[in-house]
Amino acid sequence: MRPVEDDKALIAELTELALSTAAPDELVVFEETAEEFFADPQATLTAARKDSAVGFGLELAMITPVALAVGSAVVQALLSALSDHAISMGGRGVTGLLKRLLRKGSPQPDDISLSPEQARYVRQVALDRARALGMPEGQAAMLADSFVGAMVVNG
Amino acid sequence: MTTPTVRLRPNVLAHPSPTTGRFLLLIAAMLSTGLLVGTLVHNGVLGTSWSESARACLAQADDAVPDKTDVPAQIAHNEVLSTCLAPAERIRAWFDVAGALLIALLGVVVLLATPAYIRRREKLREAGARLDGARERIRELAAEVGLARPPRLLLGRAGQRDAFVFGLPGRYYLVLPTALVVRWRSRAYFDPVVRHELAHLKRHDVPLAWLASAVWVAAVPVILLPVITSLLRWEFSILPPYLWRVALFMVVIWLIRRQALRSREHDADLHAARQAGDWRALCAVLETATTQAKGWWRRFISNHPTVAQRVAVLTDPGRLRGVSVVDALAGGFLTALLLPALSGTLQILLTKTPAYSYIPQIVALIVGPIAGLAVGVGLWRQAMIDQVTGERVWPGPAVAGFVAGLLLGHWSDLDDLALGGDWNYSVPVLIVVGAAAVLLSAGTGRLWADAASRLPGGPRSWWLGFVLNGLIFATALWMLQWLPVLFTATGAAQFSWDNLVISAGALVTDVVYVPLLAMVVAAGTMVRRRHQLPLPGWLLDGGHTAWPLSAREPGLGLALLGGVGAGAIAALGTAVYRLAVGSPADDTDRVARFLLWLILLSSVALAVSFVTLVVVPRSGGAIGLVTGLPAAVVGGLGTTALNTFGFGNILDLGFWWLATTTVVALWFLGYLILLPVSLAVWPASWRDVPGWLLATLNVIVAGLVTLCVVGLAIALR
Repeated sequence: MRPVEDDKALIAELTELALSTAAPDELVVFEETAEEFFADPQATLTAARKDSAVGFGLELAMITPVALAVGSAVVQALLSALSDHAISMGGRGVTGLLKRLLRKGSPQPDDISLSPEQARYVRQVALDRARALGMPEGQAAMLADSFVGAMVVNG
Repeated sequence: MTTPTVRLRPNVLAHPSPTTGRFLLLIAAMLSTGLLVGTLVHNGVLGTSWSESARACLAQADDAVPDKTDVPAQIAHNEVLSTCLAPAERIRAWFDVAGALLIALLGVVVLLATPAYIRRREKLREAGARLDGARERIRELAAEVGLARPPRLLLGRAGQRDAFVFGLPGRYYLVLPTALVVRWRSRAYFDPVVRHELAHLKRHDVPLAWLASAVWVAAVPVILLPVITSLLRWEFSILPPYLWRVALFMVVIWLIRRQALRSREHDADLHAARQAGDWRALCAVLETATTQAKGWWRRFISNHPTVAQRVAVLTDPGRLRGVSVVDALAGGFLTALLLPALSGTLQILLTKTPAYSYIPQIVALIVGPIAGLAVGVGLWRQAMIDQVTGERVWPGPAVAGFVAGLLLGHWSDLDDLALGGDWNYSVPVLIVVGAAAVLLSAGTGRLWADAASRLPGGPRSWWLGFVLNGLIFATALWMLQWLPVLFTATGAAQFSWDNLVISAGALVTDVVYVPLLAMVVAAGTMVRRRHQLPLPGWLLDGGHTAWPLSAREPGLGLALLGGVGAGAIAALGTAVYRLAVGSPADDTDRVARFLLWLILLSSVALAVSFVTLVVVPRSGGAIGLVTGLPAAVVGGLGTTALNTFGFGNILDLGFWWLATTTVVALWFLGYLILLPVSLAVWPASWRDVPGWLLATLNVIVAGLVTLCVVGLAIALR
C-alpha cells in the first residue's frame, strides 16, 4: 500500500535524518530518489536488468530506497505505538505527534520523546525490514540504529 | 586464497585483441545468414519461374548439342545451358546479395537506434549540478586515458546498479549507478569503474558491443523471411532442413557473441589497470562490488566472465588465451558455411566474366583473412604472450576446434538448400588442411615470437602477422575448395594414382608460392632472432626488462644447408639410378622414371621436414618449411640439371619448371599431412636445437631415404 501524502513527507523527513548518519553521500540525490520511491516503491527496490551484455558487472545499490522502505515501516510502527499517547493528549493527530518527535531545534515544553522500550521496538522493526529487503546484516544494523538515533537526537 | 605464482606480466594489450576477430566473425555470420535467406526467399518467390527457365534452357542445350558422349560435347552443352540460364541465375544471386544487404542494413539501423532506445528504456537523465564533482573527475580521467571528448554522465533509476557506456563515435554516454556517482570522492571505487568504462571507449568497442548485444534484432526478422514465404505459398518442405540449420547457426552466433562480450571485459579491465598503473584497485572493486551468477548454467550463459576469471586475468594477464576452442570452432564453422555460400553467389554473378575462373581464389581471399584474424592472429598473439610467461600453450584445442567447426559447417552445409557443391574426399581434406593451416600458423607464430626483441611494437609489428595468416588461411580455403574437386574429377576420369602424382604440379601450381612466402618470413625471422636481446618494454606490463625465453638455434644458414644438402643427395640418387639402369627404352619407361623422380625427391623433402618437426619443438612447423622447401627445390633443379648436362638431354626450361613445381607441390601436400606431428612434440622442454645437429640429421635421413627408394627401384626393375 502506498503511503498517503502526509505520511510521505514524514517518511521522507525521517529517512533523510537517518541517512545523514547511514549514508550522507546519498543525500544529494535524496529528493529525486524519494520521488521515484513513492511513485513505485517495488521498482525502486528491484535491481535493474542483471547481466546486461555491456555492463561492468557492478552490483552497487543505493541505500536510500531501502532506507525509505524501512522508514515507511518505522513510521507505521510509530503511528501504532503513539496512538495511545495521542488519545491521552486530547486526541491530537498521531502524525502531528510524530512531526513533533522529529522536530529539530531547541526542545519545547510539549515535545515528546521515545521511551527506551519504544526505541528498542522501533529499532527491531527497522532491522527486520532492512533484513527482509536483503540488506547485509552490518548495514541493516547501522541503518536501524540511524533511525533510532534520528528520533532520539531530534526528539 | 592461494598466492598466485609470481612471473612476468605480459602486456597483452600490445597485441591485436581477439575481441576484434570475434566481432568480425559475428558480422561475417550475420552476412552469411543474409546470403542463405536470400536464396531461400528467391526459391519461395521465384522458384517456379526459375524451374521453368531451367527446363527451357535444358531443352535448348539438348537441341544445340544432342550428342553428349565426349567431354568437349559435354562442355559445349554446359556452355549453352549456363548462357541461357544466366539471367535467371543472376536474379537468384541478387536475392542473396539483397539478403546480406538487408541484414547489414538492419544492423546499422540497430546501431543508430540503440542510443535513443537505451535512454528511453533505462529512463536515463543528465546528472544534476550537485554532481559536478563527479563530472569533473570523469573529465580528468578521460584526459588521462587520452580521449578527446569525455562521455556525458547519465544516471538511471534508483535500481540501476551497473555501469556501462553507449552511444556512437563522437557522442558517447557513461551511465553509472547513482550509488557510485554520489561517492565520487571515494576514488578506490569510483576511479577503477570509470577507467574501465573509458577503456571501452578508447578501444572503440562500444558500437560493436551493442551490435552484438542486439544482434537478434537484426537477424531474427531476416531469418523469418523464408518462413513467411513458406506460409504465403503454403509449402513447408523447405522449413525442417532450414530451421535446424538456422538453430545451429544461432547457437554459433550466440557463442561468438558471448566470447566477444566476455573478452572485451578482460581487455577493458587490463587497459584500465594499465592506465592506473596498478591492477589491485580494480581487483578490489571486482571482489567487493560485483556479484557472481549462481549455478554453472548461469555462469555458462553469462555475458560476463566470472569475477574469479577477471581477477585471475588481472593478476596474471598471461592467462588470457589467444584462441579458445570455442573461437576456433566458431571460426571453422563460419568458414565452412561462408565458403559455399559466397562461392555460389559469385559463380552466378561472375558468369561469363574473366573473373569466373578465379572464384575459388577470390572467395579464399575474402574468407581467408577473416579466419586468419580470428584464429591465426590469435595464435601469434599467444606465442608473444608465451614468450614473456615462458609457457608453452598447446595449440591442440585450437586445431581440434577449427577442424570440428569446419566439419560441423560442412555437415550442416547448405547443399540441400541449393548452395555449394558436394564432392568426395571433402571430409579428409577438411581435416588435413584445416589442422595444417592452424598448425602452420601456430608454428610460424612461435618462430616470429622468438624475434620479438627486435620488433618495434604496435601495428608495425603486426602487419606481417595479418598478411601471412590471411595468406595461410586463404591458401587452406582455396585447397578446401579445389582438392575435393580435383580428387573427385580424378576418380571420375578413372585416373591412376601415378597420373595424379605426375599432374599434381600442374594442377596445384599456385600452392608453391605460399610455402615460398612463409619460408621467406621464417628465414627472415631466423636471422632476426640470432642475437639475444632483452625483451622490449612494450611486451611487458609494468615497464620492467627481462631476457626473453626465445630459441636462437638452429640458425638459418645450417637449416638451409641441411635442406640443400638433402636435395642434392636426392638429385644424386636419381643420377645413380640413371647410371645403374641406363637410358630409358621408351616413353613408358620415361614416364616411370619421371614418377620415380617425383617420389624420391618429394619423399626426401618430406623426410627432412619430418625430422625438423620432430627435433624442433613448437617452431618446427615453420622451420620445416626452411629445410623442406630447399630440399624439394634443389632436388628438382638438381635432377633436371644433371639430366640435361650430365646425360645430354635437351635443355627445356619448361620441363625444369614443371618438374620442380611438381616436387614442391607434392612435398607441400605431404607436409600438410605431417604437420600434426608438431602437436606431439609441442610440450617438449628444450628450445634451442644446434644447427649442425639438424643439418646432420637431415643429410643422414635424406641419404637413407634415397638409398631405400633408389635401391628398391633398381631391385624391382
